[in-house]
Amino acid sequence: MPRTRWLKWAEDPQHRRRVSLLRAAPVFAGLPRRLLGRLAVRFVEKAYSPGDLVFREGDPGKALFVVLEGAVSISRATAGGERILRALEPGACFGEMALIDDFPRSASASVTAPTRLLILYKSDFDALVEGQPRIALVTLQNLVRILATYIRSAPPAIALEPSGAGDGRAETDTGR
Amino acid sequence: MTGGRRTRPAFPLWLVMVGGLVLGYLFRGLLVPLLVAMVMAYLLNPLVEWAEGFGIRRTVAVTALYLALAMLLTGGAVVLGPRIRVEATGLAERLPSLVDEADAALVLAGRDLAIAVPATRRFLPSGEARRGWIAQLLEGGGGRLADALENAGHLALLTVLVPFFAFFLLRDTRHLITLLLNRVPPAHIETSVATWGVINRIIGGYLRGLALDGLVTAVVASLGLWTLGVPYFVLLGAFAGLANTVPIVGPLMGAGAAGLVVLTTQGGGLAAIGGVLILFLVLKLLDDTIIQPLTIGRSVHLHPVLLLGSVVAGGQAFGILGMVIAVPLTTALQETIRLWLEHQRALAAHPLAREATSSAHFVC
Repeated sequence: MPRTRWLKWAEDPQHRRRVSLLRAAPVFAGLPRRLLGRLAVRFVEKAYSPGDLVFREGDPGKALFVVLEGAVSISRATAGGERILRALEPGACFGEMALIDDFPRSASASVTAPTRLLILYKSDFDALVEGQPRIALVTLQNLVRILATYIRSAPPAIALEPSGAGDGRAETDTGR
Repeated sequence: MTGGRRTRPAFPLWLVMVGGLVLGYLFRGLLVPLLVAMVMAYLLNPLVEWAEGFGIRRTVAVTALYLALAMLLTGGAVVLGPRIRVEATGLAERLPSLVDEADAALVLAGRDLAIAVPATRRFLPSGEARRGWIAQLLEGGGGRLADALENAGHLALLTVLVPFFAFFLLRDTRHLITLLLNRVPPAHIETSVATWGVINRIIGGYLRGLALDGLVTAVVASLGLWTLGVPYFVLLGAFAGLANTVPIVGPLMGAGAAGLVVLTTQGGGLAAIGGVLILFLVLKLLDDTIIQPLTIGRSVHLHPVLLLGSVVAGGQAFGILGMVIAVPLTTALQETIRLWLEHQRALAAHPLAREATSSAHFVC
């Protein structure tokens, strides 16, 4: 069909791929395609080499990352050495708590293969949600859901510990 | 995973920067068209991003936008063109007799002022001094006009180069940013993205706000001048809107031009320019209290001394264009320094932060 061919020619395949990845990310689940499209425009892209550290445990968190290509490993320093918490593949999202505040990262993220990441800076996200409150609502609901999942999966003794004992914050396995 | 942070050698980035500076010096004649193109790109970028949000290629979006703009400008030229041409021709024909007319008008205004406030009589210039001053002013203006005509070739080149540069800036900025970010060491990527985001938002917000502010000012000034029966009201309103984009001196330029036209065309006298002065005073108040907060909003917040200093420095470097872009550039620089200091503070607080995170409860 000529019309379909014309639309295909006008369509940006990279944008389509970004939207598909964002749709699969738990933190943006439930956002309509139109808003995902707006969100995808706000991301910047960066290539990493194997061994590059994306961020280090304790760094101030300012951005959310989405794995576009390659592999990322989330780890944490323990008394027994570096402990790998999770290996992330294309489509995975990490550092999502930075959308809430710039509290220090709770884990390190490093690249284990040639990787391209999409990066969304917090204030860009804030600027976008000013005109699109639905993005904020859905994203925050998803973040709360992610945190609730971690709370439920945590050992009961830890989950019921009063918040005054620590700072009351939950860590996720994706480096916040 | 590596224990330390790997960074690429920074010299290629510096090489690119030095190369850019050398090229910038060699092609410094293109700097002004490039700056105007950047302003144009900032004004149009939200529309391109809006289209991009629907999955449309940037090339297609920018081309469609250019076509729409061409149609809009053609429509505007058809509707407003004849009126502006008549006003501009009328004004040009009057130029030779302006010295006599302005002198007569100033005599009338001076007489009114002397009657109203006798103490001002001794401060009023004598006839010869007054005529000399007006002739100098108009010759200066005429000289600049002649220069402008002499440089008509350059202006034509500018009208071609600006949209040309703007097209590629709109289309390729995203690729350029990705290329630059790929050269930034991973350790600095979050701060770099943050800085880029802030600079982009401040400059874009200010320039778009300023354009909207100028447009609203032009429309309100034209309507006001038309109500007062001032001739060339479209031309004067457009000039007032354009001049309003220049901080501090812009509103004075708009009011001065309208005042001069009223003095030379309506027989002079204080009463003749009183209405125009009140109109521009009200316009300035409206601009400061309603129009600017709604258009430019919070995109810039500079200390008055810094604001004045940046406008003067920008004017010295790039003339009127420099005065316009000095404010957002200074604000962007201020915000960049703030972000850098914030980053340094966060790094200094690192041990404390690490302690805080290690006391959190849920580790996966």
